[in-house]
Amino acid sequence: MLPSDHFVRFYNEVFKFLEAQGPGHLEKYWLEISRHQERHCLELFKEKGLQGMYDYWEHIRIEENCDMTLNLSDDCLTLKMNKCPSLSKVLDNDATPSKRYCDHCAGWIIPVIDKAGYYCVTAPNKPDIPTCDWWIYADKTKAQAKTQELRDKNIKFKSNID
Amino acid sequence: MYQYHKRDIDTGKGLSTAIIGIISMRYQETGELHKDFHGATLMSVNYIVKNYGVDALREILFHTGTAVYREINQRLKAGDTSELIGFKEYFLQREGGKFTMTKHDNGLFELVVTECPMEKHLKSLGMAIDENFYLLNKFLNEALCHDTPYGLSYEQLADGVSRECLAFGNGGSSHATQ
Repeated sequence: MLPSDHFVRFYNEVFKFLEAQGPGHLEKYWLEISRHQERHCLELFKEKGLQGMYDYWEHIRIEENCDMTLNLSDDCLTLKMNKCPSLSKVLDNDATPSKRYCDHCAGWIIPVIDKAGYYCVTAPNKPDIPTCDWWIYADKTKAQAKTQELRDKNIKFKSNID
Repeated sequence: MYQYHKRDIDTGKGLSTAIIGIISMRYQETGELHKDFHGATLMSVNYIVKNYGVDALREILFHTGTAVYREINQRLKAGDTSELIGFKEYFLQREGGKFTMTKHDNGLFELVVTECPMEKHLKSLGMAIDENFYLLNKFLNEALCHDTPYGLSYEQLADGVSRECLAFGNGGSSHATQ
């Protein structure tokens, strides 16, 4: 049995294998992960919106032992990952970390948020620093304002806004 | 591996000194469990086999077994099975598995799992336990023992029931549907 505690270190080996296959292989895999994750959260996101997303990540915060701050307002859910347990394990590892490890979160989360009809913006940190910030909006103009703010501050981000 | 410490314990009738064995391993997570990672593991295994073939899965698990679990592999190379034993016992216990491990003085063991926590959780997610689940376990055990004096077999005997034997030489693996 591969312990559930060690999934992310196995995941990291999958990333390195796929990265070596050439461009696009990792992204296809993350889309498959995203489809798999839909079973855990898509209906909740569609039915309960930002509150459902808050409930999902609150559950994840506990089960994955995350140091994460969640803040829900009427129009935005923010997630501030103070210490990501996933990247922390990959860094505390006798195998080398994938340089694209952090990209997997946006790779699976953004498509689910998009299917639920919401707008997601994420700003990861450097690949050896286990922190990141997320903003999820129901209103596209508010999400666009956030991306503009990040551009103005020269902060790299990913989003599902055209 | 196990480290042993003397510790004073209050028995209610005065202090008594006990020797306590504490597992100390390279990876020894505590706290909450996120068992849905088992689903993501099998989904990933299925994806790799479907799109890249069985040899690709073997390659990924080779790196997992020899690089991620370098401590287990290196200790086996040196004839020390304690890290492997600790790994199997600790994580099966932590995930609520039912098993018996028969250990021998020479470091070899037989592990019979009668309720695999990973398999149990996968079934709760509605995921099929198939050939790929078997390959995951087989290839991981092979990699852990790569270039060591040992072989760790993996036999899937029935639903949720498996036997793993650490022996000198190459391990042989099989499963009930073969």
